[in-house]
Amino acid sequence: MNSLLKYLPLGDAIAAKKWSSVGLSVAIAVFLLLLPLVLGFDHRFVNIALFVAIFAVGALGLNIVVGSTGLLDLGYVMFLATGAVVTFNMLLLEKGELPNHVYQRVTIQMDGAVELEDGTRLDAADVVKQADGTRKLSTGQSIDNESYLISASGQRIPSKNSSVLIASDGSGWALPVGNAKSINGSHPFVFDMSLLFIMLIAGGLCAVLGILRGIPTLKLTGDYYAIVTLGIAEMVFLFYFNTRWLTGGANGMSLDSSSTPTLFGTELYYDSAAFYGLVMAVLALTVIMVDRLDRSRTGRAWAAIRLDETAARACGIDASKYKMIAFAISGFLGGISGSLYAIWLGTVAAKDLDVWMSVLVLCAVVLGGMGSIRGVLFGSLIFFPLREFLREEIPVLQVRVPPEASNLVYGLLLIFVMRFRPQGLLPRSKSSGETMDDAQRKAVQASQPRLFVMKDSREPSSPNS
Amino acid sequence: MDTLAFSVSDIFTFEVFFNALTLGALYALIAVGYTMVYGIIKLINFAHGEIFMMGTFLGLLLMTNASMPLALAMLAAMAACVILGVVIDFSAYLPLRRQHPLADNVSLIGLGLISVLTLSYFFGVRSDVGAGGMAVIGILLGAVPLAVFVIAILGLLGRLGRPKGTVQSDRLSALITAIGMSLALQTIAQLVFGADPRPIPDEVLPSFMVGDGAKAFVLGGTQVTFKEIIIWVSAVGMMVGLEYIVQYTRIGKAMRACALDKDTASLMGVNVNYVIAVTFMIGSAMAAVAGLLYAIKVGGNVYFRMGYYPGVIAFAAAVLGGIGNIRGAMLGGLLIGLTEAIGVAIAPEYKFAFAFGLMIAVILFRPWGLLGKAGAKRA
Repeated sequence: MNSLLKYLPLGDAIAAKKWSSVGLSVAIAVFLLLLPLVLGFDHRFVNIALFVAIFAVGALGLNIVVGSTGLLDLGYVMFLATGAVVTFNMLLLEKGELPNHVYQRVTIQMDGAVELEDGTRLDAADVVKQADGTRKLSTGQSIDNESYLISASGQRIPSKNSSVLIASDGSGWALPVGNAKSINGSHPFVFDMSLLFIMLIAGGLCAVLGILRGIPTLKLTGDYYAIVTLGIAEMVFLFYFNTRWLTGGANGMSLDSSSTPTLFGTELYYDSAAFYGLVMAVLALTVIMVDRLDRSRTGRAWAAIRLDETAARACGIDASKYKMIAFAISGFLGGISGSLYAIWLGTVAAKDLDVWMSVLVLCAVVLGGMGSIRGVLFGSLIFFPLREFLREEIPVLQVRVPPEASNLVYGLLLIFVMRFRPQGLLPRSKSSGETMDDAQRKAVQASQPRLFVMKDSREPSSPNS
Repeated sequence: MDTLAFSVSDIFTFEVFFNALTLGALYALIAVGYTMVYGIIKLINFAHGEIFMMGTFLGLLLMTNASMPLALAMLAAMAACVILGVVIDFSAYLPLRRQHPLADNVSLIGLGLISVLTLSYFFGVRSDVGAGGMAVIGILLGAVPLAVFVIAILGLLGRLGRPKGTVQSDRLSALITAIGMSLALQTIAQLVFGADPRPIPDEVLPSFMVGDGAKAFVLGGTQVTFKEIIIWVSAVGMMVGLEYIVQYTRIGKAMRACALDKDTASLMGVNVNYVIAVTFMIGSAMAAVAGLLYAIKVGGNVYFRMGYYPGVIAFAAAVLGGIGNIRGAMLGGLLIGLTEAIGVAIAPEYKFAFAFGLMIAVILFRPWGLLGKAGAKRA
């Protein structure tokens, strides 16, 4: 019975008769299930719960590298960004649309004619100027009733029966002569994809990215690992920011009604039950996965590497292999999280996915307790909604905190947590893969005889005294 | 791929050369602050970029709102940044070192200061209201007595909440603290000074720096302005001064001793925390100078996140030269400046990527840097 139990979620806790922790987990699960049913799926709190759950997946992924293997990853945002960008591009491909690069710049000539980037010229007679300043082809020229008007800022506006053209201020983009329908027939990549498949591809790509990033950084530790991951993330950021055809550049890209993701034929919106279910299922699977990993041979190897990599290698642990596993899983979860985040938000802009986003996720991990799964979940739960709740008016003082002040709270939070509770709010228990927690290890080290012991009077003395 | 189409002749021009010199001088000035702090306490002081930004803001406000001349504003910004640097060290990093029995209480001055600065926002004391720049200085000074009250309370709380012994790896804690400090200072600047980039108006600059008179000479078709000459001269002057302090003064000797071995230096009677504080002061003063010069060079765009990229790239310069090595930081700054100048000539939108790439390459293949000693354990 017990041997079977350990393969089940919560099996260990049940076997160990830790009923309080079993109860808490079940209570949380029931709460998450009931929340939207009671409040409705479009309620603000449900939306916040989605946001928290999506970022909790990312935080758990970051925690594998930061908490379990003890390497400070400052470039985690590159996985979130890649997940988001891949998801959006695949959703657009799926609908037979190519991402932004198929749209051409349009210039309006003096005589009212319109010239496309590829030299196509449309006479003034074919172009009808509309009341709102945009232009469309006169009805006879209309190519397809599923194409788009595109505003000067690059945003696509679906418009039935009008087509292709743009420009209120004389600039804009247009679809090339081949329109959405014709691409649909001929494009080699077009096939119907479930969102699950897209997410797996996004996550898989990020896992590969994590491994690729791991190859050069394998031997780095500490500050140098942190700064190299930061540098790589900055380069990825610059690439996304400057690659308009892939990410929409500074404007970013957004989904519209025709490229809504589907899951087993159901359309997903940020406030639909299916999306809520998907996100919560992903979170539950992630928690189970990282929890089991942490208590597996792999998790023990990570702990050994964190505590002392040299000693771990001396004990026969293939540190390189286990670090690579950590990088891959961490990247995978980051990609999944970014993918869900993009769908939740409905828009992806590279400029929002800068390194400070990494710091945001790091905040939740540090606050909850690096290396502790329940800590990271708890940290996510109180950290990510913070920005939402900081928008509210403070009841007694009658003041409203400016939204940008939340960053100040995050910064001070990092400082204060490191200062007063560096192990986090819910630190890992010593049973997770190691025999001693860090404090005990330090204490034992301090009690070893050394030639010069520079002892701070406030350091704990040895456990024997 | 047409953005990457370039010819070799685009790179070896006087424009690239002068640009490299200017950027290099600025990066070297910032990098010195990183490398000195890292040399002693082995901490990437992420907040250094924010000191750079704060110095720029204060200098700009003193010039525009209090109509101070450039030189005076620069001195005042240096003084303010010296205070800020020490406050950051005392408030955030000193408690993590936990060597001084009074550390907790002294350090809380800094956190109190930050709280008061934030509060000042809610009372409408914004820099562009009333006496402007002077108000900021006033807040900074007036905050100290207020902060003392906060200390007593927070100090008590700190005593209750402090964990027994050190729990996390100290280096990691310090690094995360530095990131938090960086984020906090950025946001304070955003709240106090507003989010919009501000230009440095020509009127507040000395007359020889603006207009037609600004051109000093023309070489190879490239105009060199007095702005650039001022940057070179001040950078060289600061570097010579720094070199003098480090090599020929008592405190400089103490700094070198601490960089070699903090614990032994402490046994020899060196007050390590004092030395570290002085290190922060010197680094911050140089960052303030670099900040104002940087803003003058790029023609403004003083805003709350301006410290991030120069900061990280200057850290790259420090790594390139060999972290902990002051001359290395100067050399690294020049090389990184050259890299970025070449990057601007090849693909301007990726100019930072060149510097990051160089830094990553150095960390991977020569982690001790160009002038550092091989085999020394870093990071």
